Parts: sequence; C-alpha cells; structure tokens
Amino acid sequence: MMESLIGLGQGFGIALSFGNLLWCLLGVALGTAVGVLPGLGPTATISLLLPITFRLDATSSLIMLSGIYYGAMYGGSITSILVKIPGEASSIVTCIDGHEMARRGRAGPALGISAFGSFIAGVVATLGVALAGPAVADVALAFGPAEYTALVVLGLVLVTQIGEGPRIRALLMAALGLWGSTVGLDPIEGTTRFTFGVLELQDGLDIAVLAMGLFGVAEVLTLAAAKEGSTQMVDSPRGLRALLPDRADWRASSGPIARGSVLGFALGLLPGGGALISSFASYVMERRLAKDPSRFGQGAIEGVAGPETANNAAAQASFVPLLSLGIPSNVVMGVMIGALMIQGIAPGPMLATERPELFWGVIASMLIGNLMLLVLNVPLLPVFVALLRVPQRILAPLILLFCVVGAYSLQNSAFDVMMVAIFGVVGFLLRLVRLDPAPFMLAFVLGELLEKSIRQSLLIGLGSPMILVEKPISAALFALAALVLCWPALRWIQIRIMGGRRTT
Amino acid sequence: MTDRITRRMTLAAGAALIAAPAGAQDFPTRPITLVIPFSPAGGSDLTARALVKAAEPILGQPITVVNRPAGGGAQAMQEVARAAPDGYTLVNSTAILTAIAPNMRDVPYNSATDFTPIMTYGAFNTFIAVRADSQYQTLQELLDFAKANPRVVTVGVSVIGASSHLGMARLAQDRGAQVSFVPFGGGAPAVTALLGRHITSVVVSGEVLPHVASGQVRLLATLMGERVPSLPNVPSIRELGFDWSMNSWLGIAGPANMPQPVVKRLQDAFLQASNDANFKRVMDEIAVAELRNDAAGAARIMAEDIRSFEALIKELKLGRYAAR
Repeated sequence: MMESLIGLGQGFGIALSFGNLLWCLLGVALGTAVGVLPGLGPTATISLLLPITFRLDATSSLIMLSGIYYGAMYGGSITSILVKIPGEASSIVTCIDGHEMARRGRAGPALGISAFGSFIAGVVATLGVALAGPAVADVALAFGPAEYTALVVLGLVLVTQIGEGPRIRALLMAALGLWGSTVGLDPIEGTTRFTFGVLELQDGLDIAVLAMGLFGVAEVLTLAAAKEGSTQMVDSPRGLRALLPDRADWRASSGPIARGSVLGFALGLLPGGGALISSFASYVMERRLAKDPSRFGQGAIEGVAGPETANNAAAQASFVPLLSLGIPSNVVMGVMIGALMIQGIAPGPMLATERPELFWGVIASMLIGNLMLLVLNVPLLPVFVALLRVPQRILAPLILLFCVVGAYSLQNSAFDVMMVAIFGVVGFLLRLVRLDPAPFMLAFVLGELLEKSIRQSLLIGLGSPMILVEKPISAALFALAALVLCWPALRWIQIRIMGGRRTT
Repeated sequence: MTDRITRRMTLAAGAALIAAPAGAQDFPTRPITLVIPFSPAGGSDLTARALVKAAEPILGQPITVVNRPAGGGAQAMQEVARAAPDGYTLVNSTAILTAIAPNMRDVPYNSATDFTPIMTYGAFNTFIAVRADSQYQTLQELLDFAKANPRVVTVGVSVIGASSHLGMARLAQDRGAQVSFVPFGGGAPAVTALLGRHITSVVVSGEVLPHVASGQVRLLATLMGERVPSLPNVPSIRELGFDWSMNSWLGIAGPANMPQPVVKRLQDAFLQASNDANFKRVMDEIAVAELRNDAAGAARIMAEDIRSFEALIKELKLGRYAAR
C-alpha cells in the first residue's frame, strides 16, 4: 500500500512533465475525436500512429496511446446520445436511454452525467489499478475457455432482459445476432460459412459496419420517411448551467455510478468481452434495482449513468493484465504491446520493478488524462447539444457522409460501404416492425466469443461438455445465469406461497 | 491476313524490345504502391514498413503502403495479380497467402502463375513452448507423452492452418503422436491460456518471448532450420532429428510477367534495404529471423513451399482436403 503511494507519487513526477502532459492531452483529445466519428475506432487510430511512437520515449508513447484508448470511451457516448450511433460496442446500451433523453430535450444532463460518471469511474478504477493491480491480475489467468463460455452465457441471459416490449422480441433479435456472428470463417476449422462465395464475407460481419447501418443509416432513413416536423426533438435549454445534471439527476445517478465503477472494474480485469458485458450488466442491474423499471427505455438517467461508468471503469481495469502480466485484453492492447516491444520493453510481471517510471508514469497519467477529459468535455456540452439544433435536412446527409467515410476507412474496401447501406435498409425495416437492434448487436458480439470458447472448451475437454460445470468459476457463473433466468418464476412462486399463507 | 498479323506482332515485339530497357533504366519514375494483405501493426506490416522506409532513398521514389486485410488478405493478392506488371504495384508476399491459404480454402488467385517473386527478407520464428513448471523438459518428452496418451496434450495455436499448427501437426505425425489443437485466433490469447494452466503447450511466434524472459515459459524448440542467435539454448527441430524445417517467410512480389530489368532493380534495392540498421532492429524486436533471397531464390522457395504445403495439408486431411 505504502509502496504504491510512493510509486504513484513518482509517477506524477513523470506524468506532470510538460512533454508528457502534452502527449496525454493529444492522446485524450484524439481519443474523443475518434470515439465520436463512427467507424474510425481506437484500434485503427493507434495502429496508424504507431510509427510516430517509434521516435518517442516509451513512457510518453504509452501515455499517448492509452489516452486514445480511454478517451474513445468518452467520445463513444456522445454520438450514442445525440444521434443514436454507438461509437463502439460498449456504447450500444447508452443509445437506449441516452438518445431518448436527448429526444426529450435532456441531452445536456445525459452527456454531463456520462462525462462525470466516466471521470469518477476512471479515477476509482485507476486507483484500483495502482493499489490492487498486481494482486488481482491473476483473475485474468483464472479465466480459460470454460469460464468464458459461462460468462458469455450469463451475458446472453442479461441481453434478453434489455429493451422494452415483450421478451420474445428481444429473444428473436438475440437469436438472429448469434446467427449473424457465424458468418465468415469457422473459428476452428477455417472453412467458410454463409459467405455465398463472396470473398469479403470471409472476414465475417464487422461490428462497426453493423452499428453504422442498423443505427446510423436506419435513423436517417426513418427521418426521411417521417412526416415533416413529426420527428423534431424537444429543444434543449441553452447555456452550460442549464445543461448540467441537476440535483435530482445526481441523486438518481449516484447509486448507478458507484455500482458501475465496481462492476466495470471487476469485469474489466478479464480479457475479452469484459468491458462490453459490464455495460449491459450494469444496465440490467439498475433496471432491476429501480423503483419504477418502466421508466427505462423512456429516458431514465440511471440507464446512462450506470453503463457509461461501467465501460470506462472496465477500460481502465483492462490495463491491469497488460501492465502486470503482459497480457493484452483486446486488440487495442495487443497493438500497445507491439508498440512497447518495438521499444525493447516487454510488459509483464517485472515491469513495475524494472521500469517503475513507465509503470507508475502511465498510471498517474490516466488520472491526469481523465481530469483533462472532464475539463475538455464539460465546457463543450453546449456545442454538442447545439448539434441537435442543426436542421435535419443538413444533419441527416452529414451522418450518411460520416458513415460512408467511416465504413471505407475500416479496411479501404468499398464492400464495407455497401454492407452499411444494406444493413441501413435492414435496420429501417426492423424499426417499422418495432424490433430493437440492440439485442442483435450485443448477441452478435457475444456470439463470436461464445462459439470460440465453447468449442475450445470441448477440444480441451476431449469432447466432453462436463468441463463446463466441473470448473468452480464456470459452475458458479452458470448458476448465476440460471438464477437470473428463473428469477421471474421464483418471484411468482414466492408470491403464490406467501399469498397462500395469508389466506389460511 | 496472317501476314498482317505477323507483321504487326513483329512490330509490337520490336517496339517492346526498344521500350523495355529504356523504361527499366528510368524505373521508377513515379511512386510505387506496396499492398500489405494484413492489418496494421502485425508482424508482416511492421517489418514491411521498416523495409519500405529503407528502400525509398535507394529507389528515389516514395513507396505508398496500403493495408488491405479484407477477405483474409485474398482480396489484396487478387488485386495485385490483376495489376499492370510494371513494378509500380507490389505486394508483401507471405508463405501463408502464397502456399497455405490456397490449400485451406478457395482463393481468387493462382500463387504459382499470378506473381513475380522479387525477394524474401525474413521468416516468422515459431516456437513450441510449455510453462516453466511443466513436467516436459524437451520436445521428445512432450511427444512421447502424447504418443502414450492420445489427444490428452492440448496445443494452443493462432488458427488451424497456420504454419505453427501445420508444423506441430507434422511433428506429431512423424512421431506417431496425437495432440489436440486449440485455436485462439492469435498468439497472445494462446499464451494467456498457457499461463493460466488451461492448455499444455503453445506453438506461437514472438508473443511468447516476454514470458520466456520473465521465466514463466520454457521454449522446447524452434520450427526453423537453425537456432536463433538471440536464443542460443533453444534447439531447432532439425537438431532434434527431424529432416525438415518450416520457414514462414515474408517477401516482396509483383504481378506475373514483370520486365526482367525492373525485377532486378527492385530486387537489388530491397536487398540493399534489408541491411538497414533500423529495419534489422524492428526484425529483432518482434522475433522475425532474417531470410534473404534474391528473385531466383524467392521463386525457388515459393515453388517448393507451394508443393510441400499442398502435400502436407493433403496428408493431414485439412482445409480443402478435409473429409466431409
């Protein structure tokens, strides 16, 4: 504990140098920008900037690259709330209540609470990384294919709890999402599935393409089909003060922010789908805990505060396996390891002792970076909200333009642009029949993880599914999933028995 | 009629004879494009970019690098195969897309006839590794156990059909052993599963080296023909009694039918560039071994690998030859 504080002090000494402050600012500002732009994600940005970092010293380059990563988490929520296009997978849930708040003239509080929530989560999770980091790092190793299978099953059970209307609709969309995730090369055999001879489909469907099509283009088409003026949003108040979350907003959000920070940190330690699962786990948890769950989907601020906090906490926590074990939690982290290896540094258990200035400098920079993001984002609230006042006949073509550019930039391929158009039409038709694309997207992301880990488990278990329940962590997660699934039935039985007692 | 065609052809051939040397002398007179069929920041991308940077001043023209990972890289290969064979469109050619992919699935190009090899510069180092506290001290012990206990040994690899998987499969087959391959979609997650005791061993590239340095992982062998200078204690499989090795090579190629002088100019420039200090440093850091060949050498390796991988994949009944 004492050591960590000394280390953190040393880290501040490094992170507060003029040069590093500048790299940190550059990183978080770039991160916010790419988070806002659909298609262009942190992975592509960091890959593009990699050659620049060869000339930088290792600490500065990691400070900048990590700034891009967690900065993108802030930026991703802005488009989700304003125009209902998730900047990345972990902002999909934010679209639901965040955009609904914007439609009701409450874009300011929605953006504000997600900025403040992200800041609080960032600070809590970074302190968690500093104080508990190495001690909790082994959690990442405890999760093998069997444990991931159970975690993803739990995640899928939670997905079906999202979205309004009858459960059957969410289930249908989730099932379609699972099917969508099987398009492309078989993860084990490498044979092609559902590609219809189209070469580009061998890579599978791209999450960014789906998001831009099903959300962005579909939204524009819906606007175009609607009667003039009928889709106009309620105007937001002007001026920063009126846009910030008020006392009632804070009272409603403090619980979700606290719980989201803890949940996000815990799940963020797991490589793979931790950050994504934490965002909708938080959403489902808040709806269960709410006094009036029917407000969810109608612009409940808890539905923004919880998930946005959780995904940012998870983003910070994913640095634990990277810095303590040398394990990349996701593709972005993998690229960062590449950046370090080029500099002759191998992230791993020895990093904190061998290169304390790098280890603690980066951690301290995350605290500074989160503060910068808050300072950057809050004064810009009126600007972001003013975007909603742009007439739709101008805004809609702009959204289309960004989707086309974003889709092409993914892999310099016109095919992706075409897919965005196709999924735009599909998304529009889904809206006509009131099917929610959110469960589809979430199940799509989880489906890939599910198939891979379930088949890995079976290969390791020599074909026997017993491996899934023999391992304690995985058995516990399956039990939890069963509990969530059976909760309504259990409640019903409980009420029946209680009711029965009363009458006798 | 026939006369006229012959005369026209003679004229055309004569014009080409005059034009070709002149064109080659000036070559290159405009920027060159190098297509990388993989995502940025991978081993192929990092090494090719470093090589390009060193080659630019030698050729006196900028080289634009474009990443086109679509279709597992097959789209990029097709695009270059169809490009004009003037030396201005090149591809970062690899054993994976040239010799392995066409046997695993349908691809829209013919490796043997669609390309002009220009040079090779390196090969991915591939290691067989176990945890440091594992009971297996040598590759022989691991394979012996796998022979006595079929399928019990689990081997983490990036994808089925990668040279790491094919190499280990051939090792097991040579010794009559049976192992279970578990693909993780990349080397890093496979190493994570190894550290977490979820699998027995991995066959991966440079991703494993930091964990070797920290003492958590032991390397049993490299699939390459020789020991790696930076890891003098790790035997090559040739030393361990196998009469083959596997070099997952990286190089530069262009479309088929490139003029000989242009090929020579590019070959010389890229070979000279591969002596660049920064390029060598990048190769070292990500554990790609040097494997330098001129155009003739690259063509030989390519032809050999197209043949040998086809035979191996057929024998293992994988990809297109899988029993359905």
